[in-house]
Amino acid sequence: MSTIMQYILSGLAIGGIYALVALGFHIMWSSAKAVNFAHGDTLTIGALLTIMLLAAGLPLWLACLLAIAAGGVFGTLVERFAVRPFAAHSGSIGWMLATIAIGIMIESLATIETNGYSLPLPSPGVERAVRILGAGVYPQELLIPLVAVLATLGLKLIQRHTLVGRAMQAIAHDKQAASLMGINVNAVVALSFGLASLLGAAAGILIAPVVQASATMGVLLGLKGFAVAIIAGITSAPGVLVVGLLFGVIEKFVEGYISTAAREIVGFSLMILVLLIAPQGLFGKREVVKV
Amino acid sequence: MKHLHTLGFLLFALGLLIVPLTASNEYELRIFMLFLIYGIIAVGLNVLIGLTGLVSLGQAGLFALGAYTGGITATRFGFDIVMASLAAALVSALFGAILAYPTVRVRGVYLAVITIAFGLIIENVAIEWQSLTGGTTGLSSIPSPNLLGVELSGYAFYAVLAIALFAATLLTHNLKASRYGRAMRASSQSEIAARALGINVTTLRTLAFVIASMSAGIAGAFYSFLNAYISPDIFTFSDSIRFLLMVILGGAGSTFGPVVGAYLLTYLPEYLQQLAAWQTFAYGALLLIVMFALPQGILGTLDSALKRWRPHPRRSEPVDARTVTDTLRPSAQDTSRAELVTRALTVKFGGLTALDEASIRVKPGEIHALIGPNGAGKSTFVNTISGFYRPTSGEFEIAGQQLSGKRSDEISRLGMARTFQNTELFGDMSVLENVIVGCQQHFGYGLAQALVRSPRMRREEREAQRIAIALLDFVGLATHADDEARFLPFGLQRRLEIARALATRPRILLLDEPAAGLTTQEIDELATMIRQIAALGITVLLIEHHVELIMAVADTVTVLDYGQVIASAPPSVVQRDPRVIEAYFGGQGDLQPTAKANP
Amino acid sequence: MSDCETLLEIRGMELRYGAAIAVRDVSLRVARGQLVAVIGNNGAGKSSMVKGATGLVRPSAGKVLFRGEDTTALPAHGKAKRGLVMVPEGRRLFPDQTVEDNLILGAYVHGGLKHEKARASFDRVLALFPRLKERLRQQAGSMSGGEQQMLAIARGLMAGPELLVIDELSLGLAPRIVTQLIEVLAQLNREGLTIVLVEQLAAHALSIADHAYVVDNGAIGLSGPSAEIAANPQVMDAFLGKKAVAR
Repeated sequence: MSTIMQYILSGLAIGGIYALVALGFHIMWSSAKAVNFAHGDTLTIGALLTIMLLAAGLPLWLACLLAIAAGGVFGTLVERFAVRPFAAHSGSIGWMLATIAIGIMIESLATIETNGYSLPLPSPGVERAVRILGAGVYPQELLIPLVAVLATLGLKLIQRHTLVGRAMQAIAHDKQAASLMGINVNAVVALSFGLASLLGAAAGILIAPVVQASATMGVLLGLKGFAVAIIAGITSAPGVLVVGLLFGVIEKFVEGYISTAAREIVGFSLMILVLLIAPQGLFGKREVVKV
Repeated sequence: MKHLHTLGFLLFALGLLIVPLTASNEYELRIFMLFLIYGIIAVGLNVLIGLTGLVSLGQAGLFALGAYTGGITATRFGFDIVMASLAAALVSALFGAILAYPTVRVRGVYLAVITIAFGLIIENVAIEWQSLTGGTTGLSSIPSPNLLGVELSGYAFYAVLAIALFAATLLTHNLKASRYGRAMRASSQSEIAARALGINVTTLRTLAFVIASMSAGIAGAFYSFLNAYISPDIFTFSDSIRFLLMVILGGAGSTFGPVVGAYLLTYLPEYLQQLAAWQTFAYGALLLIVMFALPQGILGTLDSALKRWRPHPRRSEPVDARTVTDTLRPSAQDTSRAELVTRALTVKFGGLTALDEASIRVKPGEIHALIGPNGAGKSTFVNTISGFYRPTSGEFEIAGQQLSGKRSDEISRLGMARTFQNTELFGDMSVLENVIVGCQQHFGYGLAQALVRSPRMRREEREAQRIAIALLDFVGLATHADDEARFLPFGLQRRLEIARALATRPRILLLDEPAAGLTTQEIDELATMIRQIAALGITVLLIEHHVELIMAVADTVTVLDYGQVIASAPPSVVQRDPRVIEAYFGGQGDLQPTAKANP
Repeated sequence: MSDCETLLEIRGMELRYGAAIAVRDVSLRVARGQLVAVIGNNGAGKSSMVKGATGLVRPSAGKVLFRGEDTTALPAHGKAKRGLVMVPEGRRLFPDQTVEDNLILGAYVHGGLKHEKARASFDRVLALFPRLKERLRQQAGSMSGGEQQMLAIARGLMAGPELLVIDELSLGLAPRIVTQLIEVLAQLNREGLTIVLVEQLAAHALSIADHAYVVDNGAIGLSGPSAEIAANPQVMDAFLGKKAVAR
């Protein structure tokens, strides 16, 4: 019983990270029909920058805030310089390769900076484990799924109740009509990449105390986030949250009962299987081909 | 161009002969052999990237799959190099097919993600399945390669690799020039036009991915023999990126580009070694630089420069062209002229009824015009009967053959061809190639014949070329045959679309607003052309706004309004129909006196 | 008319889509307070013309002046900010969002409903179209075609335009509803709004317009006071072909 509880709780923690990453993919895809393939690296940026700023003597809260902001700036810059130049012609693979190239460069810079070591990120959330129904977890791990839920709700609130949120939805549906409303489409798309990256950087900071920060921490998390977005259907924010959390829990069970390697096999095979059966994802909308 | 390729292959063969003689030590030869192996991967990957425009970021996984298959079959069953690489090719191809089929239906981006994931799956299976793969410690003591039991010396093994790369380059070059390569390029430039010409895009993309998988698999088997040791950490994501970069850097779509790319990226690390940790950074930077500065790659850029420096000579009048009548008549004769019938065809989008129980009969051999105000449902009608939209209810048939529920490529193969409102040409292909893509369904030669350029393939290609030139001559484009389609003036682009549609040898031809954007003189020429097409026994359905054109050519006019058929009669009758005037003017108020004042 | 302030002026505009020329050498002038009709058959280039004017497509030659300022290179959102607002062909609502959200987006240039002016417009358009008031919380895409066109016009009005361009008002609407909407436009024009109505149903547009331009094959064929245009037999030709009149 306590083992099962353990798997569920730590699964929700990692699943919360997947959900946050996938939410970022959802936001980017909605506005631009393109994503940042280096999105996973915003997690690395968030975590490593926090550690560096802490080392420079800043208080934890300020370090976190600055790192998250830096993540946001990174996302905006990627949109401006690696996505927008290529997104003009649909079906272009340019943005894919350009953002991958940036990802490779970020990773190698981070590797040089950390000498390839994993670094701890001290957090009050991992000082002492708590026991819930016999399972030992850090408060930090309980915090993560909570943040994911709040982020999804927050996104919904922004979309429903703020002008810029409405503008983002409008752009997702019809860029030309949105521009006729006086909306600067390019600016809002850049903003949505920024927002996605804020979430990414925050996810990196949240998970680093649990798994340690390293140059390559973001790669796999980013990829699994994308897998979650595909399984859920990249057009659905609530779908992404649900699938993200579930994906984390399933992974923990597979890891616990079989092995770490089996975890990756099962997770990614699941994605391929879903695509085979429901190409638009479990909660996604089918796209109509325009002739 | 043709001579340039022949020269290229000669130089390539010469290079492969000289290198082993000049290599000063075994290490140098080994590095070169590594290049040959990477070259095989890159050449195969080029079919996917260069021809279909899709990207795989998991070639390392397929490479690993081949390496393990080769290594394991050699160790366990004592397979020789041919058997082992065949097994590797088979296994990789199988996985490639399983992977590609669900993905290429959705979006190109998904294929990229799925292939990354696949690479990781393979890596982890290799770790997990210890009894077979040796887990993280890897598979060691792979025997040195033998052929039919005879152990291969270093030079003999080199020869095998060199021949394999040379053959792979030649085969993909042949593929590119065949109906398969042409259709792949066409579907990457306009998927809907390709489908409308009867090309099954999903199958074709899957084929391209299978070819890329097979070459990676074979290369993997060779690699396991060369290295005699393989472990999961040799096949990582960054290797996948490197394979991709080889193709892009060298020039995606060009014959020798991937070979050049593989060569550069095999030797580059030797020079980058002093960069140590910055080496991967350099890879990323290189990819970025290529994307911005050299998107066509080295050979692609050279090729464009060459074309600018020495453009194609204008083609003289066709020498050996058949006449259009010879080409199109037989297919129109073998069945009676085709009739198109729709029964209560209804299409709903969400709450909107775009087409409301439309029953239309297009009589065999006639020119039938479909008109109606904006938003009346004309485009919906065309897209439904050509298989792009699914009807909500109702059915339609050509010459008694039920079509509802069929895909657009199937409908095309049953004898319906169409053009597009916003022209959908294959812009990067020549005018002649555009038309030959239209001949796609009439080729009989298979993949194997395409790869070796069999006599049958060459005969059929020559025949298709003759037909295409005849069709170009028919629409007045024969002198433009070698121009790139996107550089044609707009009026000629419309004609090219008609020639391309005729190349499918249709029984019924849908022209979707062929006069839009044309000048008055061009419209007159179009009218003549439409009459000539009908005279060949092809039923024509014309969707048009230009009333002059309709009045000049149509036998019957059907008027749609709010998705319903409100009139269907000869043009002179329709013109006086009060409901039609109402639909077009919105009431007869102000304009009524005008019409009366001029009896 | 020359003493009135010129609001929009197009000089020698040409528009291309790749190799295709959609609009050639079009010149047009709209004075403040006018209701100008642009009529012509389907595919004649009317929509391309207004797309060039409102910045959705950048003209390949010529000039677009709005309130005396050269706005040729300005993108659509910049023109909307300056008061040149378009109700696009096919309405192009945001169907998954509510009627209220669509109206708020219409007032984007004023920062949504924060501004007093926008709140006043909000009340005004709801008074103009009471049906929308009943459906504020409904998804825009779930309404009937007529209601959607009302919302599209209302959304355009929310920006507080100097000039409202309406592209294909009647598209897919029943005649009764077209008549209603035409009446609303006439009323708005009487209240001082300058309107350009791009319309295929010439009779409707001409019935309320001061001035009309007839577009044929990408160029302006005829222009003049709408009464004159309505009486000109050549207009009929442009729609149903010469023989329609001759027979």
